[in-house]
Amino acid sequence: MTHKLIFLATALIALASQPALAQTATFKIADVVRAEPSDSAATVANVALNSKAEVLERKGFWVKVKTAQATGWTKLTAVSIDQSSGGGAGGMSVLAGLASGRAGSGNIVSSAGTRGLSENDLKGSKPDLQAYEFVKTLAVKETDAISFAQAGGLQPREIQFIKPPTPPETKNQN
Amino acid sequence: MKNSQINIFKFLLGGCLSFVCIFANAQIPGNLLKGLGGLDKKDNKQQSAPGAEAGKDSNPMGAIGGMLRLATSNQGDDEEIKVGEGVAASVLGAAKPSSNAKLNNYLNLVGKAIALKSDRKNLPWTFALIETSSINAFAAPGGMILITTGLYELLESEDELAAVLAHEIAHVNLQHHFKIIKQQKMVEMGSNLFQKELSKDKDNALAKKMVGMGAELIARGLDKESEFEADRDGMVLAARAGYDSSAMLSVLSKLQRKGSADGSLQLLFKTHPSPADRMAKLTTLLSPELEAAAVVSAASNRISTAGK
Repeated sequence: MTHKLIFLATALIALASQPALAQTATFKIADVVRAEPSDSAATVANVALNSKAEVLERKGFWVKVKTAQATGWTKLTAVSIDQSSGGGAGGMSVLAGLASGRAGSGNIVSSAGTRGLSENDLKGSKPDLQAYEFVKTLAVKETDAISFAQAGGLQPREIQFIKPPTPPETKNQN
Repeated sequence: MKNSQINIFKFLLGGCLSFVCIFANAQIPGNLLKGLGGLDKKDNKQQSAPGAEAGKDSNPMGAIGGMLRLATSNQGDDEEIKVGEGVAASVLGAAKPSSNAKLNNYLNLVGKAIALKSDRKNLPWTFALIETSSINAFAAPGGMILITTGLYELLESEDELAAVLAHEIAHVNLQHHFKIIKQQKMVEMGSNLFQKELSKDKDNALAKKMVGMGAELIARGLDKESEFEADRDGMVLAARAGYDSSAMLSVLSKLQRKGSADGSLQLLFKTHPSPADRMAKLTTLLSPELEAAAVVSAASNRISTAGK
């Protein structure tokens, strides 16, 4: 773990002074590259396990890759983005998606002179119950939240929580 | 059978390591460790009346299991909210809430809609911006979520805001902080005394004692697995509410680009796994439904006019 952190830190320092390089990825499984980011899109290439690819952009959980055979889309789950590849600190910045290149919303909401918050600031903090009571008053009604979601055109979905694979014996813990 | 014992041991060791790190001086009796095996990490819906059940149980292992079930039942919500009050007040003591009423209202409308998709929709979910240039967000037990202005300014869409809030909601939904605070208090007091105080804790005296631990925990952070878990469940919660399930990747990518050397990210990098690790982990466990939900939502651009 410590070694991994040291490696990541070293990679960050090394990359900070370098110009942006292409981001690369390795196929974790043998998979296909498709014409569009969709399971139903036409296959443009079959890619072998451990093949290398250049990552061009992300859309949802798909990435556009340039392989030796073709350029097209593959699922993010099929590849591991090389941590040491270019494109910014530690690689993976292409995962920002079709990023606008802006650093943020441009909405400056901080008061002038706002300072940072450290671990010691939190540990040494004197609880502010008045502020807590103020924040409590900000709560909104369930119906208002639902109306706001509807007004924004949000479509609720039924999706189950993902259960990570568990060792078969864990059910005996009780 | 042997494998089973090994798994239990690994689970206990993992749990213990997390709070040994957080509370370095804790002494953990061996029999208590066995008892903590009764904690079901994921189940928030225990319906039995565990307090009474635990009281009848002369076996300390069973008694502790019962108390932990109390912590995850509806009966425990009041206790959790009380502990959360102290935790949130501590954070607010370090960074004051923003007076921007429109933005705070926006956060509450977005956040509440997501929280309604959790297992604990009846908690008093409340959201607020807090004034600090640090990029971070905090979840207090009981459902108060605080997001820093530094982080808010980094967000480009309502989908990204939803991803951040959903991650924090997931921490509360899974009772990540509260479980650790509760476990630690039991270890410190001894299981019998803890049980006695809990049963007669009408004026929340016990809850007040746990507040300091909560503030400490917020400052030091959870274990890595809890953060991955909140990323994973948060992705689902945001998608349930109609948001882009992949928006967390955009947020994490921004954090990664800024890097740990950025002063405003110091605390976040200290208390969370690296954004690169989180992004890699997020993309390993996807369901077809989640993949299909990776589309920019119709509400995405609302953030640009919120607060104006």
